[in-house]
Amino acid sequence: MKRFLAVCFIMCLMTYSWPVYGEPEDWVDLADDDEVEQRKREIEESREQPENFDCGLGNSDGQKFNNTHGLSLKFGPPGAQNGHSNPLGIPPGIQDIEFTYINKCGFEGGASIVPRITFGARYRSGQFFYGSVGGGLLITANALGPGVYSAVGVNFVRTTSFNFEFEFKQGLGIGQRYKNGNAQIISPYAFRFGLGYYW
Amino acid sequence: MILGSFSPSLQAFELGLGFSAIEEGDDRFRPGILVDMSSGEVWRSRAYYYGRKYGPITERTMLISVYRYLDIMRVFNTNFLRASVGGVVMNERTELDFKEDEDEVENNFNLGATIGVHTYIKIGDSFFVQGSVESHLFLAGLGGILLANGRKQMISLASGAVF
Repeated sequence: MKRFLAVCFIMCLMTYSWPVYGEPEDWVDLADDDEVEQRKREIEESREQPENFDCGLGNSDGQKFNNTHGLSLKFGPPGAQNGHSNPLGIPPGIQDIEFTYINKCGFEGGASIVPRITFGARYRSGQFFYGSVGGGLLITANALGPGVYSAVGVNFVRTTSFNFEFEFKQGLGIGQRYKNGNAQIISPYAFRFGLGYYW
Repeated sequence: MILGSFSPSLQAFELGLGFSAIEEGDDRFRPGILVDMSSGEVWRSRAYYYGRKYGPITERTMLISVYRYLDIMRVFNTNFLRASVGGVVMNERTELDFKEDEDEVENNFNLGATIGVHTYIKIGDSFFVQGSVESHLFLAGLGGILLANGRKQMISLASGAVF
């Protein structure tokens, strides 16, 4: 009798001290068929139509390059209003190099010696041509100042992640002359080609 | 909504006159006149003329360009800005007028490309105003292989009639 009572006591202790992983009603219900079916439909729809990242700019025409990040490196001579441009250096000089980053929305940011720092939006139409507009800091041989820019480019020799770009970018702004501080209209430009990588 | 009012449709034929500030890579702007024509919604043609006279030398420059609008600058989904690409033919004429010696005339023709940005505003049903920033690029001979080029930039304002 004592052994029976001892066994019962021990079993009670084990029952109440055994790790408990919550009550059954607290467990996640994975067996809801309607929710599973809805989730399957959402996954299929997302695979059929890539999400549009135009961010309200209206610049996306559904092309793949508008839905990806991109980084391009371009080479070409700039024009800084001190005579016409020189030939592209071999190897390219620092004034011949431009980096451009494009995000999923189509915003782009460019950095180069000429025309300098630019930020704008890129628009596409069709398979080859794109255009950009925006503003930034512009520089010429005689002055530096804010302005707006526009660019027209062509994409060719495209793969899934890479494409070659030819781009002409021109800026128009008001700069302050280095020598006497007077204001003047500045209009630098650059004609460049290069490689873009999109991921 | 405001920008949408700058998105009219082009009529059949348009003819306009205007003036432009022309920069030739030397950080100086010089005045010029232009004639603007269009016979449709996509293609357009322009002629620029400018020059100067100093002493016995007279320089005259004429450019004729034909360009096409590209729908690649739909800022806020409107046609407020229009990009264009096309071709241009230029003639730079230099006249030497010597009293004693025989006069000399030299013509230099060049073929290039034009890339520009335009804004088009229609006034009523019969008139238009167009502002443009265009770059006319000419490759510098064999240096064009390495993209050496000369540019003539035109900042223009033209107005005209729609027929």
